[in-house]
Amino acid sequence: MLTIIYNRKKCIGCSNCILVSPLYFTISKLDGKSILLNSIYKNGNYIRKSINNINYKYIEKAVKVCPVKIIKLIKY
Amino acid sequence: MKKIELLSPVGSYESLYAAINAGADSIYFGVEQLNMRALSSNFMTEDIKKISRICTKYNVKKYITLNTIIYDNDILLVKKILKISKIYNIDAVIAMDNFVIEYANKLKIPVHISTQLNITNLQALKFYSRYSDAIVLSRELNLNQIKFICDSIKKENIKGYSKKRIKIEIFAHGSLCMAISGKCYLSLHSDNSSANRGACKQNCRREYIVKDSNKNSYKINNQYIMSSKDLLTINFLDKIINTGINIIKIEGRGKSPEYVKVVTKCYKEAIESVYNNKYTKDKINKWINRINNVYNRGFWSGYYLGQRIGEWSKKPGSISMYKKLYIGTVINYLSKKSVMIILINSYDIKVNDYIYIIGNRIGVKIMKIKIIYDSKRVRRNIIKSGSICTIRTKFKVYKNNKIYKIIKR
Repeated sequence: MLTIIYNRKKCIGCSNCILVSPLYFTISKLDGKSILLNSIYKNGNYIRKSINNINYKYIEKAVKVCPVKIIKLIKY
Repeated sequence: MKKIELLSPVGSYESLYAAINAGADSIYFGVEQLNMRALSSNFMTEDIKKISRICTKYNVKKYITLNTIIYDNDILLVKKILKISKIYNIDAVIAMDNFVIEYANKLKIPVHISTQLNITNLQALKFYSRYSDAIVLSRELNLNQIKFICDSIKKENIKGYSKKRIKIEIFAHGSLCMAISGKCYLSLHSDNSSANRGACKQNCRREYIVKDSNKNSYKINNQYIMSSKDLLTINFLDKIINTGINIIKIEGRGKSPEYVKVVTKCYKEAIESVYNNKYTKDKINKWINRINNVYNRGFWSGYYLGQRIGEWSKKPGSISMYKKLYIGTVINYLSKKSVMIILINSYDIKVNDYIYIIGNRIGVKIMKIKIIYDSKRVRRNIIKSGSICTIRTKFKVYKNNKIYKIIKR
């Protein structure tokens, strides 16, 4: 099981995360920032919990390439 | 003769008040992620209204920067920012992307062509004059080239989009890039963080070891091989004014409010003294000393005096004599007694310490502590962290203003 935490306020819209994990991220045309798909908004962060670990490699890549380091991944 | 305009950087409300109090004629700021300080500038679209209101109150012009590379997914945000800027009477937008320039023209917001477009010749300037009212020249030009451009504008009477004579703006002070005006890919290669989207990670400021493929390490004088020194023009400002430019700009939206205050004030005084024929060497030395006390990486004159190679800094960060330490916050101000009550969070505070008071509405103030009372109204020489004390001030401060101690590096 994994939890992805995404602090959208600090996003600079470089769209690196979308390139490496398009299943989880997409770009918003409203403000040019990334969106974490199927997430819920809580305390300033967007949070998505997922039971299967199949795609976690892609998320890890997104964590790595984010220039402002606002994507966090917690594995259980 | 019309005086040149002094344009100051604003990255926070504290800097905004600091710039206004120091006598800036105009300020520039960026919002959201579409400006060259996306990492450090913290204004949002909603702040445009407040900034505009403050600037109008103090009769200061306000320019918004929108000079990053724009992608298709940013178009709606650009439109939103420009529409809001129009509503709140922003004086100009500093733009680089052709769409931004065109849309600003459509909304009838004056455009300043950013230095990111690297205007280095008259013909390019003529092309962009059709769409803009001011042009920021490339930082790599020398004064003769700038003078030629300014003279030609007067001779040929080149007009901007609003049918007035086009203005010329140059950088007068602040950090320089080792690449041509921000066109740098280092940060993108190392951190996936594009400098052209305002997310420069400043790789050039680090120390490097130079090695070749045979693992021979080279002995070099300065291992900060590409950390450029800061630009300083206060010592030849008369020559700059003589070229006929209209606006001088100070770099530093990512820098602290006291930097904005000191640099703006020194340049303001320098401009005044050039016009009053009181521009002397003594004064220049005093200004340079004052500027040396705030953030800097050492100074050189940039390429304005015709130097071939850049000069490099020898330290990672600032080489200024002093630095500031966070002490605490103002929790109350008693206007009848003109006394502020401070909660000290870290370090301690002593008599004869110099402190900065930085915050909203007051900008930056510097003062020397003469008398301190503790919470039981007993006079003390030192107050340690965790306690409350009262200090008399000559000016009004506000709740939640931050207190910093100035110490030697």
